[in-house]
Amino acid sequence: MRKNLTMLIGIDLGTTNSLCAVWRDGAAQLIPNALGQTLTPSVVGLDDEGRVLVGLPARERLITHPQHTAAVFKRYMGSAHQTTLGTQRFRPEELSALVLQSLKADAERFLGEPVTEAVITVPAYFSDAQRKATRHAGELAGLKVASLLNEPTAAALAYGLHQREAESTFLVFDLGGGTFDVSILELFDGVMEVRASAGDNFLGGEDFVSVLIEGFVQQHPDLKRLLDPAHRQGDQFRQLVRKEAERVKRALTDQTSVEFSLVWQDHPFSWTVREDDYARLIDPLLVRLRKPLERALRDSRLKLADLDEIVLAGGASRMPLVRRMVARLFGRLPAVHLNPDEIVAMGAAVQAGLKSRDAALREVVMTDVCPYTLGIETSRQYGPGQFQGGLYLPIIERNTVVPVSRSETVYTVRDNQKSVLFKIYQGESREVKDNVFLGELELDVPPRPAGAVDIEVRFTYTIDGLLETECVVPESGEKKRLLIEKTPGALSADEVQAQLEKLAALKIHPRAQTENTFLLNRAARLYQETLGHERVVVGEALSQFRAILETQDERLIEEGRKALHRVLTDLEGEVLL
Amino acid sequence: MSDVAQHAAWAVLEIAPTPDTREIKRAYARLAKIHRPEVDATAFQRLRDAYETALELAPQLATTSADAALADSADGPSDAAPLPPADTALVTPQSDPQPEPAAPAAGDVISAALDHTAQTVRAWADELNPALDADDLPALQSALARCLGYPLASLAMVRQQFAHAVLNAMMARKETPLSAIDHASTELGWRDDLTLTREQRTWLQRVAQYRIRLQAEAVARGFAADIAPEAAVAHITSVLSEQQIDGLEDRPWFEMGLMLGLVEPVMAPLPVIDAIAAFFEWQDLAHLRRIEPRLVDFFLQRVQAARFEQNERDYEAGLRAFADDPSPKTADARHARWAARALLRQPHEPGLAFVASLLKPVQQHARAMLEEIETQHPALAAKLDPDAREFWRKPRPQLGDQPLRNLGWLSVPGALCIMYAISQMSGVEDWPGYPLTFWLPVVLGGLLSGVLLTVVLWHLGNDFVPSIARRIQLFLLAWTNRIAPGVFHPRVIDEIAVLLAGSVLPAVYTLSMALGPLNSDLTSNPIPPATLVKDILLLGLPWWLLPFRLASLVRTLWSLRGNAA
Repeated sequence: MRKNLTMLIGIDLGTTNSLCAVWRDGAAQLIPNALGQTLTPSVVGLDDEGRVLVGLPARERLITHPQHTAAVFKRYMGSAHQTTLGTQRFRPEELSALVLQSLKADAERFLGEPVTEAVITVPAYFSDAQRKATRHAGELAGLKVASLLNEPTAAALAYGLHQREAESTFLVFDLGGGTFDVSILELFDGVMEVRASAGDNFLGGEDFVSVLIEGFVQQHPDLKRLLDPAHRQGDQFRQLVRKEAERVKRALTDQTSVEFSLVWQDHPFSWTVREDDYARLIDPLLVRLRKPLERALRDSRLKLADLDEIVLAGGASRMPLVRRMVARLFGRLPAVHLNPDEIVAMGAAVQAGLKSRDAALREVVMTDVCPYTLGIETSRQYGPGQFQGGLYLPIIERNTVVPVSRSETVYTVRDNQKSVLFKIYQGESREVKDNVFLGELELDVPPRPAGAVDIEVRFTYTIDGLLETECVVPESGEKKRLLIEKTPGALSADEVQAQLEKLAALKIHPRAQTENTFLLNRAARLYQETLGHERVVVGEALSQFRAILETQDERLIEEGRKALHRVLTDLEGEVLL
Repeated sequence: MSDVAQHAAWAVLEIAPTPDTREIKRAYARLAKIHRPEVDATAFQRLRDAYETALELAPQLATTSADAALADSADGPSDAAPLPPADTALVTPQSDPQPEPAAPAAGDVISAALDHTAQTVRAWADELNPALDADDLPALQSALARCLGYPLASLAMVRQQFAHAVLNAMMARKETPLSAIDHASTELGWRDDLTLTREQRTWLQRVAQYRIRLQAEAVARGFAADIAPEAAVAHITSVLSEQQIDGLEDRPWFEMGLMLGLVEPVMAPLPVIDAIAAFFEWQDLAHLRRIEPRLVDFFLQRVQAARFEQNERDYEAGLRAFADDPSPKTADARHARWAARALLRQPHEPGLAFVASLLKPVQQHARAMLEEIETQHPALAAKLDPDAREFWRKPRPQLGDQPLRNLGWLSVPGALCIMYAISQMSGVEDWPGYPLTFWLPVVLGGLLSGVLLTVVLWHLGNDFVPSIARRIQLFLLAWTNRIAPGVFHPRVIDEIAVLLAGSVLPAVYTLSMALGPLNSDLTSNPIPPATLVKDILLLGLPWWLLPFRLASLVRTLWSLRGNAA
């Protein structure tokens, strides 16, 4: 019945690729984009007329127009970092909003009705600020964000429904493009319970690519200076070498030796990467996988033998070296029933189904945890009139099932203290300086001798990962609430309005032409990458296709497209997603 | 947790108290579908709390019901086998390791043959027993080689059966030497045998974990000698990667081995232990405690004891160094040093101690130090002279924070009396022209009276003066707080108290001079006004201080303006 009111979709907003899916007819269905593919690269660019390009057509321009194209912006979510495209500056959530807008358009076309609400996935270890930014991105794209779902939980939802076993416990190992998450889940009687989550927000496939780039410039030290962001041609070189490194990384999945080669300013450079070279290079990254796994296992109070299955999610988990590492850590082989690229989006669709109370999902309940400890700054007295400040008082311990509300009582430290300043932090360290500051709240208290006034601090953490703090002085009834908003990089209402107007003013590249634009961009990129005869072929095909486009004859264009596609595919194979 | 909360938990879950976690989970699952977390957060939270409480309570209920069952069967013959200790690696599972093959049906040749083979391989396995009993590796090697040399053993199937038989035999033993297990494992290929039963595999895994533990212990024992903490951690890292101890399940065994090796038989240096603890993040030991709580506690106890000892040594050395430090920076440090020196002096010298004790801060420091030493460092306390401890334990007469100033204040009345008496006796009028023979007794007498007054005040009660001052302070604080809350700072109150105290004495004297009630001469023969003014200027010297005190009060107020407490 709700279906008629609003259409809910699930979106996996990834570092490298984004997907959207919908719960329909009792199953999760992936939604194809204008190119007929389910994966849309999380790349945004402006074309020569200043129109917005999203996905593959934009990704093709990363090399030819690095100044007008942006990628990997999810890493900056929740910070004040800005990316310059042409003459305009964009915040990471605005770029994400453009990707979301494009996914929304795909979904509307696929479903034939307007989409207004979405479940968006975020890495489990995303902080409060990063979650806010994601939510904000959704709103900028014109989507009401029904809930934010943790990525490994999404993967588990998809896997758990797929499994439909009465009782099982499994670990989701989600190594995506930019983030690494581990969740341990228990499934019983239709209850899907997250027992523990842990992660690393700066560890993902992109880091493995970076390691390969490092290795490559070590072989060719004269290229090293090009990696400097200040270098004039650096942008273009970085995109070029990144693309090649990405290809090599993928090729290493089923080959033991791959040629890393690129043409820069008409000079060919190459490096033969063998699997053991690669293994040596990525060892520091693999070591970093260990900590979150250990922490999640410890927090879940489970033994390794209690785990029925290890579920892999995220594209980077396809890497054989990663799989080998997982097998070694757990002493068994991980499960690969579902496509690791798609599993998170499928889970998001399941959650969307749950949200819209779909009949098929009425018997499923999912509970998630708060992945980090939340608390306030306190002082401890160690002598008369002597205090040690900056100590952390945890209020909600990490891996507590949400929604949750917990309170602690604190006291004033000085005689006749007039007010108390509560600083709210997130993190695991004993001293607040090592934790992440979230916000602050000042409360007036009646003047009394030190310790005579008690204040109740209550933290409420909602299912969407939003934290509300309430401080009450029972004596005076003085009360204050704070929904954490004072996060660094957050915006005022006016700024948000300005952002909306800015995005509305942008012209979006017409969807119908996406395929042509993609092919043109790809051909232009290949022209730049190739040499000699191949370059002539690409140039020829490119000008032919341009001429055909001029005719505006649908049938001719269709054939021209096929022809150009064939030429390009002959040259470099299918485009990797 | 109160009983009410416990009962409430079962009520919320709508079940009777039960040790069966399965049932609790079922109840929770059923209700969670009604009170969905995304719909009704409050109701879900209540359910969740009840669920967690119930899960916590379940094991307790289980033990009580088990106890009850045990009590029930106490009079009958108990067939409950004693629980095997779970904390050693080489314990054999209590279950029968080898299920007996079913008796062959009559005439069933194949099964008879199979049975025969099984018996044969068991007999072979028995041949290894003497070598195992004697813990003699060469004998075992030759026995194993002999068995594998039998013609029948060339059959793969028989060989495998033999491998299983040997494994079962070893599992059935109480103790098997590791070297023997290693040798048999390589010879018989247990590691790659996919047909092993679950028990057999578990047993081999436990052996492997035991081995890791031994390795770690050996590594840790190497740290007893002097070694840099970084080098120790580096060594551990290299051992971990060389031996490929990186399974999530194996690592804890390594950690436990390290723990034992670090504290037994010789304690490793504390910095090394700290570095290793930081490397393995031992601030959270829950994962090890689940495997072997006693070892973790033992380790913590030993480390704590070592740390305590270290502290003890550090504290004493620090205190002695401080007492000998010739260049204290501040007055407070000088007082503390004086106190430390007086405490540590061997033997105790009452005279020196008395002089030192006249300073209030020295007394306070010495008392605090003595208390700290006696409560936290009993070893050092035993080294102190008992007389010194006795001397410093109780408050003694003292002259306050600034003895000279206090002595000065207290000497004034005595000096004035003597001055007055001498002047009356000698009849000299011209005060400033008095000779030294006049001033000397005045000053000495004044000082003496000051000391006497100190002693009198002391005997009135050590806290007499401070308690009055404190009472005045509290009174003023209460009133000013009522009139203008937060305006008056303790420093202001102090200034006012000093001002009042400083003005009492000169006021009394001046009044007595002016009115002359003590001298009948003065009433009949009044002092000329010029002399009176001179006297007041000279003898009412303290009055001169008043403007300074007033200025000081204003300064204090000024510095505190707009800065409420």
